[in-house]
Amino acid sequence: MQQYLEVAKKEFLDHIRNGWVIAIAISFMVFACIITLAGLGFTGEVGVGDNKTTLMSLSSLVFYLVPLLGLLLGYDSIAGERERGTLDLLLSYPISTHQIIVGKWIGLVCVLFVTLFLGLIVPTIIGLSFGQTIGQWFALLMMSTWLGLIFLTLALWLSTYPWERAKLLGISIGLWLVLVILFDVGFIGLLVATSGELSNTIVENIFYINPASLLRFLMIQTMFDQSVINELGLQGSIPGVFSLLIALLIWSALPLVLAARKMSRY
Amino acid sequence: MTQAILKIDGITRSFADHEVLKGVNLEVFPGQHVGIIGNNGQGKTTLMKILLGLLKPDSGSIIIQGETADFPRKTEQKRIFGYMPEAMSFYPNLSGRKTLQFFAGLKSLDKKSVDTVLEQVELAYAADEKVKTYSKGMKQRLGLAQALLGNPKLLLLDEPTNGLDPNGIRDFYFTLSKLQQQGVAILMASHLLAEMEPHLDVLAMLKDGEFKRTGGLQQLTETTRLKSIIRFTASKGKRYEQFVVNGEKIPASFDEYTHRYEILCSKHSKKDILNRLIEQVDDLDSLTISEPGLEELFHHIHES
Repeated sequence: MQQYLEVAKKEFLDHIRNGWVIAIAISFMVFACIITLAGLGFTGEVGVGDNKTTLMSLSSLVFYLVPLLGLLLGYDSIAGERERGTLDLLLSYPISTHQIIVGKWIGLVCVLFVTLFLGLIVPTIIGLSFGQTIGQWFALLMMSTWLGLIFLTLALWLSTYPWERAKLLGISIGLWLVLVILFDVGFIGLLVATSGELSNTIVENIFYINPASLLRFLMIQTMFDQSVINELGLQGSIPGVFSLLIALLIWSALPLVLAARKMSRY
Repeated sequence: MTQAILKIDGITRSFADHEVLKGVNLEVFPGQHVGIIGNNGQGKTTLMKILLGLLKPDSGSIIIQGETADFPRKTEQKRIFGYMPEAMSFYPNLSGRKTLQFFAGLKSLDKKSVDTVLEQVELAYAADEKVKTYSKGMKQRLGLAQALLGNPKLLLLDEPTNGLDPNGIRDFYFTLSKLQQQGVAILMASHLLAEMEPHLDVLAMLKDGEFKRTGGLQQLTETTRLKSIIRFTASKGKRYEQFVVNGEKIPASFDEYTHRYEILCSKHSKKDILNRLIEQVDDLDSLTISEPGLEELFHHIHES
């Protein structure tokens, strides 16, 4: 157990001290504050809107930025050690490859949590002072962390392949573009091309290939009421909460298992 | 007889069709300083990785303190080694102390051990500065410090003095000699032949995936019959082309640029040649004798 914690601690300190995390947290906080304070901008007045409006706007910010944050945190975790020459040194110590992988994963998830916590703390305080409830803010923080964790774990797995960091960065950004930006456009294109003839089962199965969509649905179903689902026209075509949880757990664990397997052959 | 701390027994290893190591054998005993020398691409890095348990050999075995090493390596066997890789950069945002605390934690050592190694490599003054502010020499010291954590019985050092200034090199070898006195064995790969020569007990010359020669420097120079070089200058500009010693003509080459003569001679004829030279060269100005060293031996073996 000590080995996992030593690696996690090192990973956490190394990232916290490089200033990058603080910069990301501050940027995130600024965006989140603007969204919270100007949540009613589209109605022609500036002020804090109701819970639903603010959290819906914030969740959009989360779904664009947090996957990228996760990928950027994870993509050079093993590749960086390899390029610095510290991976062979680490492996010469009494530590196994899966202890390195899991230890790094724990440390990076903590970095992610701290970054998002710092990014969301000020907008949370603003929201609470305008009578909003803490439960949904906490749920937003946890859902954001889970979303980032999935993308971080995917990047960690990619990082175990013997590719250069620049290539891994390119692949990570490509993955973000495909799963976060282009997936929705492609999905709408598919619906238009098939004139909306796709069955609900096919639509539901398409969502399983994208963890970002799955987490968005989980958030909608757990943080908002049925009216939001109806407003979005998603009734009947999105997976249930239990299926979402199972799928997201698989998306969270599978890349970690694959990363540990890949590293064990190093 | 003392047991070898490390025995490399018939190690072979290939990558695709290329056989990098073709049956490597070597024994390292406590307190011994063994130098592995060889040009790039001769298999040094592959051998280091096999010793550390990062690569599995195709055949042969590594025996650590009389016990055949497993692959992957057991924790107890890893503790015997201290490894210093070539040109590593560590974690730029951690301080030297935090870096060492991390590595000490992996070996389940307390924080005192970190202070001890920092003192040993004389890096305590910069221990709390971030590693990214360190010079190359300071990073090398940090590399040695982490290798010394946990009092290893065998140090594996890969090009350890790269980037050290002359004082740093002197201090580095001084630290190594103290460790040797405590019974620590050192296996070191380096290209800096002249620098490592005075410190080595045993040389292992790696060429084409094999140790072509293994032994003490003196023993190897004698068995390879390397010649000594007598160099002299004459003040009056007289020219000397050869000296006849015991009926044999020994040529003297003259360097037009340095105005210096060179005579190659074997160990047995050296005294006679010197006597004849002093007799004949009445305008002798300066005289030096260079015995064959590691560099000459290295070139001889690699050219043969």
